[in-house]
Amino acid sequence: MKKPWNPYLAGVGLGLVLLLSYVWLGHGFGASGASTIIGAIGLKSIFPAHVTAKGAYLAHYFTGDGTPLNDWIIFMALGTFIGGFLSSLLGGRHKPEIVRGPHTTATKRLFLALAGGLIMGIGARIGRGCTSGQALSGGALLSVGSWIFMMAVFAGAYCTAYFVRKEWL
Amino acid sequence: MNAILPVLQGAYPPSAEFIPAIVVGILFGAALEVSGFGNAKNLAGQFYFHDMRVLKVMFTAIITAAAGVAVLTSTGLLRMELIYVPDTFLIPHLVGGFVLGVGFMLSAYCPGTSIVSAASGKWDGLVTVFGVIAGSALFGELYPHIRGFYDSTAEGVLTFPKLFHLPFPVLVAVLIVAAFLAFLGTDKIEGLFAGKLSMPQGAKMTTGGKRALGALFSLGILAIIFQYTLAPRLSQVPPREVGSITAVDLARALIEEPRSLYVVDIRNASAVAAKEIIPQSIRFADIEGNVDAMYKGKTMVVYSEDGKDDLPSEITKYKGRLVVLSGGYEAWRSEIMGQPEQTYQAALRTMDSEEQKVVAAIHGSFTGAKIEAPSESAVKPAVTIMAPKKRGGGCS
Repeated sequence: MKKPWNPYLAGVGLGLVLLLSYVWLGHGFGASGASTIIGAIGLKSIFPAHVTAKGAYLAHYFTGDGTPLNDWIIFMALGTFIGGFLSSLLGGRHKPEIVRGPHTTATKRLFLALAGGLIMGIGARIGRGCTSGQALSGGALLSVGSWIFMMAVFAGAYCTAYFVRKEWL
Repeated sequence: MNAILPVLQGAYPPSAEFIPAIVVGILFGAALEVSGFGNAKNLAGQFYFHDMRVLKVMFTAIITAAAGVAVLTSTGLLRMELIYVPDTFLIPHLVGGFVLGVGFMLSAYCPGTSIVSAASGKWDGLVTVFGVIAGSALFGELYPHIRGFYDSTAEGVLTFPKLFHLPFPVLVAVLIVAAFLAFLGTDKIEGLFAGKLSMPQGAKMTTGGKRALGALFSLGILAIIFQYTLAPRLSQVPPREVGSITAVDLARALIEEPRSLYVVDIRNASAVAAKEIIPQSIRFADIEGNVDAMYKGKTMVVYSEDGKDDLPSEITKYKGRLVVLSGGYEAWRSEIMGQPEQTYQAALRTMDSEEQKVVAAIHGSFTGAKIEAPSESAVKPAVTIMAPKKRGGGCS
């Protein structure tokens, strides 16, 4: 398993991509917005009337014509997957496995990953974005809300770290 | 459900941002992956003070992009108003960030890095992706109960330059210094915890890294110098460029990329029959709040009855591209809706056969009329009056 890049070098690379995004697209990154669209489509296929009801949070995805998948954020998420896949192959870091600490079971790790994802999905919607769209993209434009969000993310994670230390240490 | 890629259906052109979004996405995914964020251990290390690369990568990326924006805007190569800045909602951002942080610690990925992790073959990453999807959908159930809170403490677009009344590059330079101190601090902290626990240790800032930061800082200083020398001269000429668009081009844009437009009707509302409007229009009188705050990267198309009216001064405050429908609603009525029929036919005759086909297809999609031999499914009707946008940023 090859080591990742020096974080400062990787950070400069990530920053230049963000700059490209501002200049080319007129906005920064996005990730959790794509999950919301997929979640909305999934939920609509089970409870169509409920999702498109007037005033429902997800309803606005279905007011326009065409599929809500026709959105830049879906294409960006698709690109993120492709880029991550190619880079992990080229960098010798692609390996099917369950990443976990030495003192935890695979089941427990997967359960926590699912629970964490679920909580992040809710948090990202309350905060109108995630680490990509809010913290990074708004942060570099010096948006006050984005910085509050970013600090809160670190605070939330550090407050939780102690309780799940057995997962990693 | 529709096909995953609308482009494959052929019936409907994909969002105009299709290519750039996918290219930027690929580079974004690769940058996260080389940062080591495809592997949960590299992210979890941050919160046990082992390998604080989450902070290092994020902070470096932020100051790099911010320095770039500072240089590009202060030299006049890029207009700050053209970049979308998310609105600030103080308490929802605080609470949402904290909740996301708790989830981040549990799964040891954030939504973006979970995609990269899944792409690197990690099952825990894939499971996190599903969790985020389910959580976002679940929020829809929560939303009706917390709606007041969700929209509370709204500050609009609030940035530190606005808050402190200081130019963007000055604050970027301050941020770069703060980042440098934070990096020295993290290298120290990692040293303290090194070897005490069974996790890999973080990479130190090398001489190269310090040089790179120095270069960024110089860029920031350069931007400040530009800001005080070049920028005032650039801003002395503030011409409000108002372009124009023909009815046919507007119709095409409404079909192909309806989400990239605001269509604003500035006619006297009471004088106009209810049906006599361009689809997707917002009446000028119905716009709530500031026009300049509406900017979301969209073009605003304004129409009056004959295209000759002066624009309301409020409209000219719109920050994005502003265009006027030439000929106004009269041109729309005759060229697109085909009333009166003779005018429409006369307009058709001036076009070559390819253009005629396109215009006939557009005419059909807005009037519902049968079209003779349209290029098959080239155009799909795309016109319901859109509900006012209430998309929660969507990480966008």
